Amino acid sequence: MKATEKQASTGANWPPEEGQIITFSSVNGLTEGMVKDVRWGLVWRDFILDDGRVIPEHKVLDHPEPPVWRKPEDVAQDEREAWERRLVSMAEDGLDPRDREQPFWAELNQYLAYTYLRFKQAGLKPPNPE
Amino acid sequence: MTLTDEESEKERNWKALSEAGLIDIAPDEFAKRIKEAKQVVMGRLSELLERTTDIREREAAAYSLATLKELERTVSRGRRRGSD
Repeated sequence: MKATEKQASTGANWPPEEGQIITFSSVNGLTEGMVKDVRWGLVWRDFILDDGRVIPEHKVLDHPEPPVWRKPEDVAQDEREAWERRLVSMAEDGLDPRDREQPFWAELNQYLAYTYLRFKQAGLKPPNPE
Repeated sequence: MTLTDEESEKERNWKALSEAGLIDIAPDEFAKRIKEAKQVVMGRLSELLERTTDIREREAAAYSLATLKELERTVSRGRRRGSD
């Protein structure tokens, strides 16, 4: 690790910022990567690494417990529709969601989680009069 | 909602997604998970169609269903191509 690279830590310094190194669980075991950006998805926060991989917060070592998640009702219609258009566009471009830790895999995973939480749980709540 | 309620809601959500296999979808399970999500949306849409309220949710569900169908079509086409 270079002297300028900082290892991410929990507590007041969470979430890790651009340039910090995070350790996360991957199919190959624990792996490290440098954070390029941190973005909120439809449900959880994603860390975009400098090599393009997208790592969900709950896979990062020492993330806060329980992980901070958004409520489905906090996602605006515009944001959801933009997400849906982006997914369809990535699918039409021939991207493969089986490419783990790539944007299509990450965005489709979050979309399915969001859709499940939104519509499964909405069905369990009393009707909302309009 | 109190902080404790929020914490237990988060835990419920985590458990629900975990049991549905939606926290970390294995690459070969996307087609199955999309199909299951479609069933959840169709179930909710059926409930909403019986009511005259919740128009926005009904539209959102219909839009999501169309998106899932499109994703199912392209993902399964990719699988066939991958197995050729």
